[in-house]
Amino acid sequence: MSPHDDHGPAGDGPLGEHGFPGEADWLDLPMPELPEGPLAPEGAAADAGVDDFVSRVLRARDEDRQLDAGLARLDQELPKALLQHFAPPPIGDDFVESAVAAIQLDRQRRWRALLARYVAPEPSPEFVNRTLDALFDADAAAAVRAEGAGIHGKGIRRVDGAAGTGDGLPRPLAWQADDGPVARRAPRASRWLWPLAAAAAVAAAVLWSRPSHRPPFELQVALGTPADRAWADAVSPLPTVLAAVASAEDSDALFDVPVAGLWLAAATESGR
Amino acid sequence: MTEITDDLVRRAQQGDEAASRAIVEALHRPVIATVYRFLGTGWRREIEDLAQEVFLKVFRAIDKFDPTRAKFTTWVYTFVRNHCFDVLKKRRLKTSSLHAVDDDERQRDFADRRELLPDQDSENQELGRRIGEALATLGEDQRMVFILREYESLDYREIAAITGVNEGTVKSRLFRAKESLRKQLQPYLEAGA
Repeated sequence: MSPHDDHGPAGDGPLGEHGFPGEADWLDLPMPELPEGPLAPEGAAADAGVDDFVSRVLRARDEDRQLDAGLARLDQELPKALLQHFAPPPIGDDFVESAVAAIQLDRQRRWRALLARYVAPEPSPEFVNRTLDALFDADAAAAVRAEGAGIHGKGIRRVDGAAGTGDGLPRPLAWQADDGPVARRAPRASRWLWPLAAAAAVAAAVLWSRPSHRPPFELQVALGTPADRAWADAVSPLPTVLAAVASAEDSDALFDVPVAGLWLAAATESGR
Repeated sequence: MTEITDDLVRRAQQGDEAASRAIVEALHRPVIATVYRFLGTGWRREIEDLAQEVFLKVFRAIDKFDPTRAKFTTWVYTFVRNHCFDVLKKRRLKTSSLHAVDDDERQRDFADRRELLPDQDSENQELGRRIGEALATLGEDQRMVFILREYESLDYREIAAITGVNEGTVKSRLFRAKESLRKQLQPYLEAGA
């Protein structure tokens, strides 16, 4: 048994409830259990822990002193003046300028990449098609596609693949005019489509011409959308708008699928 | 040399170009010298590009620098040390056929060195080359400690912070490095004496 066992387990010693000991008690603190050190000889008694600890501390101190003495000796034998013969090459006059320019350019690139996450690019044709498929009555849309019919000599078709405007950007609308073979009578679907489009155009023109003190549409959406329904990496505000509309119908709906209208397409598919 | 104050660093953190320039101006010589001495003469042609990469890394991370935890120069030297180690690690991954290229490069390098340093006599050039070769034989940890102590005059605590070891280990690495260099450079030391 160690002579320090009288104090019981750790925490029950003279520290008691007072925390740190007073200066007078400090030297009489009990010795805690120490793991066997690497310097302890095999078969050493357990109560030799104190001596082992002291010897390790002294040995470490001696080694440190020896190192200091050796380094001082080597400083004399290997003088810095001699080492200076290994000099770096001359530095180009434009190093600082080019380094600062590279740093600024790198900073701009990183900011641009960061901001690009919040800039909505043109939606892809695939996204537009999926959204329209989901928005329009499935049967009517199918009928329009099946007819491939023209209106006043013009056909209507969906955007195919990466069809673009010629300037590298996809068309913003899913419908584009195509030359029809002959002028035909407008199909049933277009009879209500044109008045609807005309009414929408008039409404848009009225809204557009009114003096507006309201913030931009994107900002309105951003301000009015709960944070848990908005995606920072959305390519367009449209998914957020659609999510808000759907949320009004079903407040318990969870929108945990990616943007780009996939969830809406899936919902339409399941409803068909 | 411009003193790198906390205010200067804070302005650089806010994107101030003049502050960034002042920091590069103050630190480019020690950064280039440390990279060159650590990697060796074989990297002479790339040395400014490598130093610039260090600064790019420093300024990408400068927002994370906390002046209450470390000196700015100590923090920058951790980037120097890590970049040097990364460069050597990448070189080790290259195929062995590139060693021949390295040898050719080294020979051309010494030719360039003679052109660029015409005022140094041939003995000094030879001694500098020999010191570089002796340094290259040291282990990477020993070499970095030696350079930071002997060429950059950092104290043991700073070197410990940069290399991630305690001060005792720094001292023992430095001792072994100097002992090894002393043996390798013995002929030059005797001639000098």
